[in-house]
Amino acid sequence: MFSQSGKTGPILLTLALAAGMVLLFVPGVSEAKHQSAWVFDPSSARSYERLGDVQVELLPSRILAVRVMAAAVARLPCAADVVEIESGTSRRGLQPLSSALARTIASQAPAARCDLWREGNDLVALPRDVHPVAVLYFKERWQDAGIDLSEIRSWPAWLAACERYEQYWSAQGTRSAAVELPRGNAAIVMLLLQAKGSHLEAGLLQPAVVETIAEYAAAVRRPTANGLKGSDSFGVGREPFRRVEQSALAMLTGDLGAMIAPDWRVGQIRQLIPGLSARLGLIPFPAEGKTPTWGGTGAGVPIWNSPSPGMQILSRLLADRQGQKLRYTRDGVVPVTVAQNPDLVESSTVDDYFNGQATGQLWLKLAQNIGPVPVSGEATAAIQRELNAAVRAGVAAARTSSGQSDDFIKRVVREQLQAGQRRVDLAVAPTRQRSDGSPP
Amino acid sequence: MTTAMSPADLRSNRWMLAPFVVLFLLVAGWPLARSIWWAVHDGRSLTSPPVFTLTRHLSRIGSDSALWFAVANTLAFTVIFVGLLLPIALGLALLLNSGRVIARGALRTLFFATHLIGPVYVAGIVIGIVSGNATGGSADALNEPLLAMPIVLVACLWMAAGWAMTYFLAALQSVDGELLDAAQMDGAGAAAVFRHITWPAIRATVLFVGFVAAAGALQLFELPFVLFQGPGPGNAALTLSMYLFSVAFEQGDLGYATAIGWLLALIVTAVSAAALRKQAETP
Repeated sequence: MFSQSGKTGPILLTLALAAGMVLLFVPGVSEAKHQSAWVFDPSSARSYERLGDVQVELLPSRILAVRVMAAAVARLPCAADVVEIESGTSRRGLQPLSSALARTIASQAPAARCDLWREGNDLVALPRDVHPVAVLYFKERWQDAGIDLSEIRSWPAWLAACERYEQYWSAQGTRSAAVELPRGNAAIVMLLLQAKGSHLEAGLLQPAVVETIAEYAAAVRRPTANGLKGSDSFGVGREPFRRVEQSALAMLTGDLGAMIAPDWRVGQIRQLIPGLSARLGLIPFPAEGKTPTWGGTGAGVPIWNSPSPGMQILSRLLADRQGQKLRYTRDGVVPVTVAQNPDLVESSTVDDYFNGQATGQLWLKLAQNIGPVPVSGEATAAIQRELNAAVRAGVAAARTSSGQSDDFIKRVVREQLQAGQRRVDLAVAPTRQRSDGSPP
Repeated sequence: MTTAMSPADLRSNRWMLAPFVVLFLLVAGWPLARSIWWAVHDGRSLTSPPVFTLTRHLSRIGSDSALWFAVANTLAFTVIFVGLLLPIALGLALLLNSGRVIARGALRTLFFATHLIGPVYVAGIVIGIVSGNATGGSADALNEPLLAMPIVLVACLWMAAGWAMTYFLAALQSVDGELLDAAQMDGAGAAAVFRHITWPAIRATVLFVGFVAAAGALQLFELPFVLFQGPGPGNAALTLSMYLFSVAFEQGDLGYATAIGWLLALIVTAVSAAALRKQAETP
């Protein structure tokens, strides 16, 4: 039909040529002058925005990781100069940081946090946080039960206090759960880190791992209180933490006495629930000298990008002390350089939200005692199932043993882990050389 | 009227296939060849040249408990999903085809709607229902390992039942009405009519729908991924595609992920071959 008119063909051809010429001469998006960063955390996004000339795109963590890996595999530069990824995500899409920048980071951030972002001997990301974990509790409820949490120094003492708390409230005719543990690996890894400082990569059958899971199983076997579902569901979960509003509401209504919370979660509660002001207390994990961390974010430069714009952004971010201070004050995220720069949290030494408690000092002390993170991204995937299975077996054993036989729980956990160890190829877990030269 | 081309003409006109062949090689052939290459190479280092590592991938596939859990989970899901989908969809189709239902068009659209809105929205609605935002249910239902796959299963059935029903409706409407009338006049009951007339007429369609549904179920990814933001509580909702995603983008091992992709392709091919053979046997 077009060919019948005889004119349509030349007209279309002319239009196509004209469109092609326009495309050739119109300046592309790539000529934009701004530097750019992809991040998944709104509080982190604000620190880039403070730099003034960095365009920030906020993306879901997984989408961001896929974009970075896709560009890396295709051997193409990423559209962002800097990208932030979560620990546990592959770091292979990031290039080694310049030696000068890596030296500056190593001199300011704890070695354990730098180890988290090493590929071989290279540091591939600037660690953005320390994420120490503490116990957040509702003061009145523990005081009413006659328990002074500040005296708790060990896990057995903590578990005994929880028992007493629940018995007291039960006698009052109120169901109140002593503590909300994070679910799944979050809890287990925290306990392993804090109580034992052990490394899963060295094997599932280490006594420290077995004992910790047995303790964890004993801790979550108690009947659950209103709104706090299923103690054994703590062993495995869709998300490590419930929504902060749900947990805070449970505290306000008396369903919950305490929760285990990293710095950012405490920051969220402070921001979202002003009604809890002056009613909360914060204590370190109940064991001497060690503290766990939860998660972590690293900022790096995509592997095929020109390094200088990204390195420049990272240097400026690291040097922006005011930005780090603001992030702590507003969002509760303890700066990664806090051990070297204690003044970054000093302003919050007296914390009105915590009724004058020196929470800044507590975070500082915890951040200075951060231990190594035991599980690499690859190992996590291989080990996760077996740990969860051991937790479930341990919880079931704890229920049948009526809390009398710790050895029985330990034996069940050990058998489960033994079966799991045969299935887990620990060889895929890379053993990273730590910054102090010691084997992991 | 058509005229057959002589073999000589066919040979001389083969070059006319060139655009298709070139396009096919570029769009399908090259990625396929490249994926085979990746599957036998170690893709963990992006900066150094990949190393041939077929044996490592094979031995890892053999001993990878998470992979075999994902395979078992996916196969179990597929069997149960297809086993439930076919009778549910056929039941809906029979109901809508019976003439005893009012507003058939509206119902047909309603049943088919979930297929149109896609898995992400369906997952969103399911989260709303299960988490209690819509119904006052328990948020922790999504944290229960034992409930993870049943939730995925119900969501998938909800999404696919309308789609399968549409095929069955079309098949039912093509059943010879005269045969049905004759059987009824001869005193055949509903069950006998279905067994001896309707079923033989729609059997090929049922097989086709079952095969397509199985192929889709074997590649299950979006629904559990959105529902659980990952492999679900205790990895209970881990499927083969999700594991592939995790190996490629969380562990960064593209070579092994591609090898898993080929394993998935082999499973789908085996299922397809079995379905095709069954279809060929259908009279």
